[in-house]
Amino acid sequence: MHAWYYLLISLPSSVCLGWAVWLLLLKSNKDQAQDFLGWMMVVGFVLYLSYIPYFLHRFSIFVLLLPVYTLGHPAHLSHVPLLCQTVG
Amino acid sequence: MYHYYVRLLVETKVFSIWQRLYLPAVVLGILMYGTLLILNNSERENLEVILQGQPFANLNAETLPVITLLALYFISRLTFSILVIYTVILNFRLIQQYQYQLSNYYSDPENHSIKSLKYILTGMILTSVYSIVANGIGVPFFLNRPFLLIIPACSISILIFFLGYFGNSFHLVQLDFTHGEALDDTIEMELVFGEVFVANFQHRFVDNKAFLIPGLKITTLCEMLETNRTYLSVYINRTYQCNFCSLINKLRVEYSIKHLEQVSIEKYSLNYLAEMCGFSSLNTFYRTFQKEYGMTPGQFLKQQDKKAAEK
Repeated sequence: MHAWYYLLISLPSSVCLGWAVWLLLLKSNKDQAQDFLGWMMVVGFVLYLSYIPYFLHRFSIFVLLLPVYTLGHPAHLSHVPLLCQTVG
Repeated sequence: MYHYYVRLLVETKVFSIWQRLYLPAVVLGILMYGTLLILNNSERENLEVILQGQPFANLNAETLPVITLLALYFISRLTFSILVIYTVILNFRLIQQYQYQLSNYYSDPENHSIKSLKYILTGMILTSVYSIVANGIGVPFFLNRPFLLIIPACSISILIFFLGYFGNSFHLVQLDFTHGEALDDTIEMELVFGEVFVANFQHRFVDNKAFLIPGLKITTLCEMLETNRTYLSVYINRTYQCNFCSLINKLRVEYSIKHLEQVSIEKYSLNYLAEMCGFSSLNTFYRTFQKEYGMTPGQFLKQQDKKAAEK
């Protein structure tokens, strides 16, 4: 695996983590909406982080993380027809 | 979560309806974890093979929990696709309500972050649509062609970055709204508009040209007239059949027309006139003038010149 591959698969989760840290820790305000956006970024971070085992061919970990997609789905709508693809 | 975020931005009182929207995710997530727990090793391996994009061959009784799990996964995707369409419609309605609130509150609502809010919502929709497209192609497709992964990884990252950027730069105005509402609660609502109030409104707001104050808020006017926001808002709606922002714009345009008719343009530049009439920029002045009068200030001046030449 090349370094750029690791960079690519961790890029979306890194961006989410960056915003989560900025909005929740570094930017101290009483803005409810911005705080919530920070928490959304945390969810996005976990969601995109859970992709990494898949692209690292660690499918046993990925299987355990499947429900995370379900829970994270309303935040970042994704993966509609994965089943169609695999079953078909 | 998107919907709840937009709700937080545009409403002073957030209802718990979003929790009901999230309920299917929680139920399906728990069911999936439950199904995962009852999988044996061979079934788990079977599932891993399927998720790598291999054809779903050799269906037998042993794979039933796997089929259940994948069916739950598929149902969750379908449910959330419907939910997203529903919440996008709800979000657009909320933004419309928000714009209406702004028009009833500020004389220049355009300067209060509507654009950022639109960018945020567009970013959310684009991220969702893009995720659907990328996953329509299928995650295994990218697994087998790593160099193509650059497209979804970079584009999703860019979208998330801008979502965070606009969310971070959005200046909340609901605190002002809350302040206005708190004022309303302290004063009893009257249904009849007293003569003193009407005279006061005419004198202070119209005759003394309070509408020329740049960035005038309805709460500032309330303080001037010693009344509350709801009372004043209802008075304006009933008497002038328009909201606070429209009334201000109408009066400002009328005022600017009087100046344009009386004074030659050499004396006043349009920029100065816009500023004098309380508009935040020349663009706002042009847009408002055209909306109210059906022509731009420039066209109006040309018309005036023609009339003068004919005389």
